[in-house]
Amino acid sequence: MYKDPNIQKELETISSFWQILHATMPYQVPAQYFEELHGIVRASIEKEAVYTELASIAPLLNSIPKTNVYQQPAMVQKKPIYRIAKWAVAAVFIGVVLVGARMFNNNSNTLDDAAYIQVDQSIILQTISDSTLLSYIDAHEQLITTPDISVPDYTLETSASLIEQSSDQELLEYIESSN
Amino acid sequence: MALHLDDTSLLLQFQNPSTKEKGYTGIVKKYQEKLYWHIRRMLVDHEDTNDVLQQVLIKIWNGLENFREDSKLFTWMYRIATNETLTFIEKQKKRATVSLDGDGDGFQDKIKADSNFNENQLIWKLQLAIKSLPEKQQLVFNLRYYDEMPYHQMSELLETSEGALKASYHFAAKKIEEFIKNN
Repeated sequence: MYKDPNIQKELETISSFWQILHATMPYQVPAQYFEELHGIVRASIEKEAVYTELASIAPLLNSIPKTNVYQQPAMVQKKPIYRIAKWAVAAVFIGVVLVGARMFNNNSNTLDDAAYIQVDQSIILQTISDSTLLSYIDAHEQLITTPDISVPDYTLETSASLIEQSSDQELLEYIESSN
Repeated sequence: MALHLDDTSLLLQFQNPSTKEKGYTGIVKKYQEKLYWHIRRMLVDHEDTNDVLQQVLIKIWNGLENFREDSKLFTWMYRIATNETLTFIEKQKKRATVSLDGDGDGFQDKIKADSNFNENQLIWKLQLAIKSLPEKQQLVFNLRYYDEMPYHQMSELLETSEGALKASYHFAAKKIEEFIKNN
């Protein structure tokens, strides 16, 4: 950098002491300071322009801090066990579905429709007890069509004719069983 | 070293709306270091200097529209920087319990607090000596010794006669010499 020799000469006329001093500054400046200063100043100018504009429109607004009043929900740090639990549940569910699907497919493959059709139902009925059949009939009463087995109304006349038609032996047996 | 346009060209750029930004950038880049050191010599601390310099550059942006070239651009900017720096010092004085005027205790402490400070080095002793001067003498000495400003320009800047400035510079140099010899 150019140094004006007249400045040094002027000092030396005041005192020879100044011969030993040189105009260097001992202070340091942060790195890149002068490269970044212009951008910082431009940003400040823009900020001030916004402030000045608002001051001319609604000065009160400039006195209100621009701090955000809303808050983000606090992030809860889940324990590792909870973090892997959902994956474990998902894995078990997928496993159950896969096993179920495989079992279903295996059963479908072994079903022999032709053999089922050729089964002799009378043989199967012989192996079923009467009580089982009766309970089945009770349960499916609506589906089974039965012949009309209603008993005709008995009157005194029909009773008298029935007595006439019966033998003495039969009547005796009836009286004994009625007692 | 970057080449800069002359002040007239930079001002013409600034006055044209399409090149205003470019003109301002050119002015800032050309003078920012000189303004920085002018303020730093007075305030010592970098952070304080940075605050004041930013204010100065904003004032320059706002004031350039009305700059009528009655004085040189450089002198006009130096005046803004000087006034802003002196205002900053006044505010600091009001806040601080110790006076920074004359004895320079506050600023001398700042100098000693610098991470590179070495009391045995002459350049550091010189800084302490300058800070022992009254503010006006500090200004005159710094402008002449470091910035090598001609007296007529300094006269325009500080609105003081050239004779008074020369006398002030002479006394300042003598006081500094005394200070260094005694310390």
